[in-house]
Amino acid sequence: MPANPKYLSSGWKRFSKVMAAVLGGYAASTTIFVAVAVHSSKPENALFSTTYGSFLLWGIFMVMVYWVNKAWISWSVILLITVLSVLSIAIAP
Amino acid sequence: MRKLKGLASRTYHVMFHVHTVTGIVISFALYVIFYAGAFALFYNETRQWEDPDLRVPYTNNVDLDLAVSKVDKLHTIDFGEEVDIILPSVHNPLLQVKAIGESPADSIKGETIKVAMAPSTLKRIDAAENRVTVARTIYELHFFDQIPYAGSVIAGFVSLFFFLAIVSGTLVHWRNVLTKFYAFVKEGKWKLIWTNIHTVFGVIGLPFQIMYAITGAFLGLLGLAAVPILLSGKFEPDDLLAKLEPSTTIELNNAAQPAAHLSINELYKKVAYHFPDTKIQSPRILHYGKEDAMVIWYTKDYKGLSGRGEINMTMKDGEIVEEYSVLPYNKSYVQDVWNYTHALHYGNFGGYLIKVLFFVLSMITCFIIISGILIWRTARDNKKYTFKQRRFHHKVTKWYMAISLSMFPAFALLFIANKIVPMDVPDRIAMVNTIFFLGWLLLALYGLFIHNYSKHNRNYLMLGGIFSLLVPICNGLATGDWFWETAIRYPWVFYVDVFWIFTGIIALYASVKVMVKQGSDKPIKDNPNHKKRLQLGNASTQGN
Repeated sequence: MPANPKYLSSGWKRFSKVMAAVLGGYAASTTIFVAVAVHSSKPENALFSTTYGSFLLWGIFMVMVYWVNKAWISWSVILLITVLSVLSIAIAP
Repeated sequence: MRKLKGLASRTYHVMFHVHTVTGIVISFALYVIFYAGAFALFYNETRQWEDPDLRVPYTNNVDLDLAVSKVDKLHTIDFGEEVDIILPSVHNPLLQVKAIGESPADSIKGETIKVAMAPSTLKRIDAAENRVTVARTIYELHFFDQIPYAGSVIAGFVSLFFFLAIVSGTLVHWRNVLTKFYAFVKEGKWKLIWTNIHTVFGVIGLPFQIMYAITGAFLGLLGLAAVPILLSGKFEPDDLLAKLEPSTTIELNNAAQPAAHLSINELYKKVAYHFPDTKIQSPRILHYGKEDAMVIWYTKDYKGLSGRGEINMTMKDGEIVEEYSVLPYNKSYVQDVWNYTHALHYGNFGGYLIKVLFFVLSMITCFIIISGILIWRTARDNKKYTFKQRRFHHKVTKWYMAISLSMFPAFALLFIANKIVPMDVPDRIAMVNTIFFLGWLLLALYGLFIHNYSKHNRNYLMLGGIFSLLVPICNGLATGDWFWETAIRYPWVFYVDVFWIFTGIIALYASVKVMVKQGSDKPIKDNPNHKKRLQLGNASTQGN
């Protein structure tokens, strides 16, 4: 029943995954909502959806980080989403 | 039953580890959150029990204008500021007026005045608000408000990681989720029994737990989620607030002239006519006596998720101003998101059926949490772990059982403390809270000397049962309102007493019936297997 340790990561990889899940997940999930809001005609709808949606997305990102084997893949996805969101917020009128 | 495809091996083990680690880390806090939360659902219903000053007959027939003028005579209300009236309810039959005025002692302007009155005579009752606590303590404990600043944020994070634990646990269980839906076993290894109960109740409670994980994270971490919105610099917080609360955009003329308008009583009749199926809880009056006077009626119907209302009327003619109102079942998306979340979390919909259902499901969730720890413990009770490791597992489990199970007698003790501390003791609230927290500490410390988890179970059930039965006795002795009398006069006092009577009887009965295992759960250096202890069939029967 306890997880077989041979599948579990250790050291830097483990730290990296925790950071990706908690910090990276936060950044990606919240910036997506702001990016959508900036480009909508009724931004308040997207912004208030953040109140429940950002936590749902954050949880999903956390699961994704652990589902994917290699840490750099999940980091790439999260950073890509965050950077794209921030850019689209910056260029919005 | 169709067997579902489970996770691949590596993913399965990783998800299992995620579930175990998040589970163990958050479970202390999560247990307290769900246990206190279950009781906090009945905050309003406990007020009349905890505060004898609220035991006055309920009436809906109150002269609101007279009440305001009485407070005005005493305190010179500043009508340029908001005046709030809290109307009598079945749970709290006192009429309360809150305003900015002068305290008669020192004539300093700008003081917050709170006056409580008996509804029919409008005689002033010394606000006992500052002298009683039971519901407030439990409510604050629910989100760790006793910890300054960080408490609710911690609770929010626990909620977020609870969501992770739910998803990872469901993924791990996925291949068995249909085939093992009814798996309750009555004999065999303890590990299997705990696992089956944990997974079956977990699946049954899934929608409930997901809802609370998300709404809990919302309520605790809203500030955190809002940071990127504010940092982006693209949105005005005031504009966003106005979408949610249109009454914040009301602009009143400071130089408005005095003018006649309809009385509050007449306006009450109007709003009750327009919204007949809802409870009108509280009018907020702006610029009373002036030409632009407005009243906002706060209403709740406890039926649908969007039942709450803020009905804005001009006092001149009772016209409803929709621009500033938040109407029941007629809200914008933004207002509905807010109202749905709060109604779901507080159980303020679907009447008492939902409240009772949520209470039961919360207790089941507490049970899911404990069974998780016990699975963790029994799964590691074998030769693969060193003696030091096994001692650590036992210590964690022991602390866990002691802190969690002691909450049952501790909560009963809080109710008892509310009655045994005399009403005229200064700083009474601090004393009642101290008895509760110190009592909980001592009850938990007692559990640290017990090394047999089934004995923890039995002993705390017994202690809890005895304390529970003492609650209605203390209420009767302290206030004279014995439960057989209050059944007709003050039903909500009766229900609280009866709850503790039933709980006490059931707990004592259970404590006698609990099967207590032989021996100790503490690992012994030479013989780690203890197979004999793990078999249900070999367990000794009651009274050990």
